[in-house]
Parts: sequence; structure tokens; C-alpha cells
Amino acid sequence: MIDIEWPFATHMDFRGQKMAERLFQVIIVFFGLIGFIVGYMMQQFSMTIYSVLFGVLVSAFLTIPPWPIYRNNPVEWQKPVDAKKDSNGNKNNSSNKSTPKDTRKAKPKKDQ
Amino acid sequence: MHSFLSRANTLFAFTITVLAVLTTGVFVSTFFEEYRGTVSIGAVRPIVKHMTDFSANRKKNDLGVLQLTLDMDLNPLFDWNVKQLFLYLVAEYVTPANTLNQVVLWDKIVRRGEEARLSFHEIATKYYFWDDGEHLRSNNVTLSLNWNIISNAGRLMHVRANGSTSFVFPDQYITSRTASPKPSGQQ
Repeated sequence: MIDIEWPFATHMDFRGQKMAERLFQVIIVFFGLIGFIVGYMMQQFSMTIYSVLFGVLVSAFLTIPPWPIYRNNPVEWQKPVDAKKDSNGNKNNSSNKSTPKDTRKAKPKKDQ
Repeated sequence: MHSFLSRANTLFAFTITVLAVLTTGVFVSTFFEEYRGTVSIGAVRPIVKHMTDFSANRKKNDLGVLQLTLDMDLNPLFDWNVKQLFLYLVAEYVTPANTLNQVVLWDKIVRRGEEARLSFHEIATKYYFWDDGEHLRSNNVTLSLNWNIISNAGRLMHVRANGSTSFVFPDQYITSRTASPKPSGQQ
């Protein structure tokens, strides 16, 4: 996938991601079941499809934008180590783009 | 799930999976349905002509001409898995040349949501009733209506409706040109 640099932060922390994924799975399956029952009673398959699409809209609104509730458990990084003291023991896990930029003291490992 | 696009991607893939499961559910829920029905068919004024068939082998073959009267109610056939019906009227008869001859005389596509109570009074056949030879005189012909179920998800079934009729062609050709109207061709 192409990684686009948005002007605002779009990350969620790991617990938030898990919560978001579980949430949209439950929502879509729920609307799918409702739609199946309604469609069977009305004998119209289009009702089932509309119900699922409505569920997708609701889930998209709830899980795609990075709401603050998904950032309640931020990853705890270790304190940055002064580069002069220890050059090879790299305790500063320079990770990918999900960390703010000011913790990068050591040289970056990956060029993203 | 760490960026917009990856969340949107996961959501989309999960949605497609859910839709596939629901479609399989629709298929399973109508698996044992037989789609039977009853129609009324009438053959009006059948005659036989003896003419050159220019679309076949240029010999003179028998041409049957008749009008059709049809009445049917197809609403019970449209359950949630039926997208459209393809109706076709078949004339079946036996000749010394062939054990079974089947000629389609009329067909119609009925989509879901269109008028499903059809009634036709003495319409011309849509297609020509050519015989492969000259054995239509005094022949006992059975007309039956069949439908082909086009599903949203499922098998394509051909079902014969109850209510077929038989008639016998006259034993003389019509030679004058004042006889019945020609078939209507494609509509």
C-alpha cells in the first residue's frame, strides 16, 4: 500500500487497534444478521445488502477516523539514551512513523 | 490498522467476506424450492402450410401456423433468490423421421418487479413452426410452458409448468393465401 503523509496524526495505539477491529467486526456481523432476517421475511435480497452497507457506513464512521478513545494506551517508550555515552547498545527503539519525531536521537534504522 | 488506508482496507475485506457468507445463506435457504406452477395454454386455429424453407435446406417443408392464448400468474415463483424468469413455450411431437421434435414457439423474459400476471389472447407465435420434413398433417402436438429460473445465487433450473395442452393439425394443407397471419418475429 502507498503510505501517504497526512498533515495530522492517523495512528492508533495497539489496544486501540484491537478495539477498533473488534468493533467493526461486531457491527458488520450484527447488521448482516439483521439484514438476513429482514430480507428473508420480506423476500427481498436487496434489503440484506442495504443493511450490510449501512453497517459498513456506521463502522467506517466509528473506526476509520483516529478518535481519541483509540489513543488511551500509548506505547511506553524508554528514555532516550545520550548518543555520546553508548553508541552500539541502541536502547532507543526507533520504530516506524507511528512515533513522534522528537524521540529520534540515534540514527534511524529504516528509511521510511 | 495503523493508518487510514490500512483500516479502510481491512474493513473492506471483512465486508466482502460477510457479503459472501450472506449470499451463501441465501443460496442454502432456497436450495429445495421447486418453483412449480400452473398455466393455461390454448392453441387456436392450427393450420399447416407446405412451403420452401429458405433458412434451411431449400426443400419444401411443413410450416405450422397457430395462435396462442396464454394465462399465468408467476408471482409465487419470485422468492428472494429469483432475479428473473425466462419463459418459453415448447411444441413437442413425434414424426417418422425423429422420435422427438421440440420447437420453441414463444418466449419472454419476466424480471423481478415487472408485471407477473400475464394474459395473452390469440397472439401469433413468435417463431416459425417449421417441421424437419413434411409430417405435420394430422400430427398430435403437445404445447407446454417451461421456465428457466435465473437466481441471485444458485443453480439455473428448467421447470415445466403444469397445464400443457394438445391439439391435432388438420390433414390437408392450406393452399390459398387468405389464411392466417404470419408469425410476429422478434418483438
